[in-house]
Amino acid sequence: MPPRRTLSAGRRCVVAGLILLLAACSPTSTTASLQAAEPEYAPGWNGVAVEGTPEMPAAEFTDAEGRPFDLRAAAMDKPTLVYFGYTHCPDICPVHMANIASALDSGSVRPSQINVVFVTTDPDRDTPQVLGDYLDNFDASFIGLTAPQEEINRFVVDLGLPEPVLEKPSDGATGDYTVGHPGQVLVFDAQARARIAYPWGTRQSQWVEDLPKLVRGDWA
Amino acid sequence: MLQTISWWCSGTIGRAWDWTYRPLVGVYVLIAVLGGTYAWSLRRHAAATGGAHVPSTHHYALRFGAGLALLAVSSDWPLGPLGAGYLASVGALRMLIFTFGVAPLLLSGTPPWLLRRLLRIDPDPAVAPGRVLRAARATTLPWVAFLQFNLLLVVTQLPVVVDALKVTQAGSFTLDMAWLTASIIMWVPLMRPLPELPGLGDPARLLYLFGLSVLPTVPASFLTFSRFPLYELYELAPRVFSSLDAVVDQQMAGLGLKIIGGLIIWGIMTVLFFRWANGEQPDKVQTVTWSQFERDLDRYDLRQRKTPPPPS
Repeated sequence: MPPRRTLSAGRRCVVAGLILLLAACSPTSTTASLQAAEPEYAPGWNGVAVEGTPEMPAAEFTDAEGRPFDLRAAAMDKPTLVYFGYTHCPDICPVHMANIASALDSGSVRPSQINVVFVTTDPDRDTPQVLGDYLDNFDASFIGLTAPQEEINRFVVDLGLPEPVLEKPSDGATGDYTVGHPGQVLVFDAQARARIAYPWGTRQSQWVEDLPKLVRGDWA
Repeated sequence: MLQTISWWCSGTIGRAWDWTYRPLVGVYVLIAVLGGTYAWSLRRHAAATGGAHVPSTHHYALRFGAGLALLAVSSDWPLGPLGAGYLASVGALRMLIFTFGVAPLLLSGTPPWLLRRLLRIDPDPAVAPGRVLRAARATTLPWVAFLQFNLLLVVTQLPVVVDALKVTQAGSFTLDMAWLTASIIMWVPLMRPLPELPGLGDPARLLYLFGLSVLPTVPASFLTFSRFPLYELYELAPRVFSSLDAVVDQQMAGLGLKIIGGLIIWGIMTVLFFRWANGEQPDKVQTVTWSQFERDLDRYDLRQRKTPPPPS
């Protein structure tokens, strides 16, 4: 019987090190869990159909100039994209806004053919001035709206979305805090009815594909 | 604190980047395994040869150490995670560092005797080459090395591959190691670290490098001229710099791969060309430095081994 070949101590260490390294590279890292599950898209669209097409509730908003703004009236004129976020949002809000701005910039539709509205969920920090400065970074045509916190919460809940949650420190300390808020962009047709929700993860190319259909009103 | 520790850099979709240091333990383990094994091999070899190789070994160790240091810098925070999950341009920079820094330094820092041991080359030239050497020869044939490198370049730039692999630590690690291995193989015909492995003459080396400078134009062009971000990972990553959007970042990645990579390759070609032209002059006296002579002794395995004194 031939002698059994064994690995030297050094090679055993190398093999053990590599096995440890590969085993440690778990595919179930915390970062992987951040990827959203694939949503069920409405046929022909890159967004999800809103069940029941709820009407936009009435609310008293203030725009970035500090003037009262009737969102319902504005939405009766042309399709309106509404996003609920806040200017201190570190992650998804700026990406959503930047992707819509880039899609508009690509020329698939003119900014005047559509309303893009950013409703703050953090009115304490997002004054009209702050909102205006923030949105100007993306597209000067974007409309920034604020209202008392209760008014915003009611508006969001009336649309069937989860109520924003201010995650302020429990000890009452001031400073940075985050706000839990809906991640999708709601699209209202020219009768102010919610038609499609674009989830977090909608890409620039998808917006470019869908914006002309939104303007034409090619609803499924 | 534990939540901030990762094993290897991986992509993050939706998680904001902050400039807080995050330990990437897998990087440290890899560097420790490679460096430790290398140091242990040098020590064993010095003991076995009575220190006959010590002067040239320092030279190799310096290069290998520099290669490891570059590997650590390009894989650790912040370059590693930034390139894996936030900025395509930093991802491209890491590829360039792996290809033109880490790979040639690790290869030229591996002494020939160690390479012979890794490839299981018998000191007796009459012994037929083993499986490992045969596989190494086949893989490092110039056309094979060229093709595998360019194929991997294209495959690792495909959005479907990047978006699927870079978001996990295992996938990110696999991509990095595949890229490093492909780069090392690409350098073998150019550097020919052992006479037992395939190599190229000067004109062929120029041609090989020219090919390497041309083919990356294809993926680089897609990155540079695409109207939209190609990679979901980088498009949906929170912005690191508010003024740098996903398309500009992608264009920087494409231009970096093409321009910086091209400049490095053409720089090497220029040096090789003049060295070759210089060597072709018939009346030119060839000078050899002592360190070159030492390296050639190792390369061709011509050193006289010290034999231990007979037992008294």
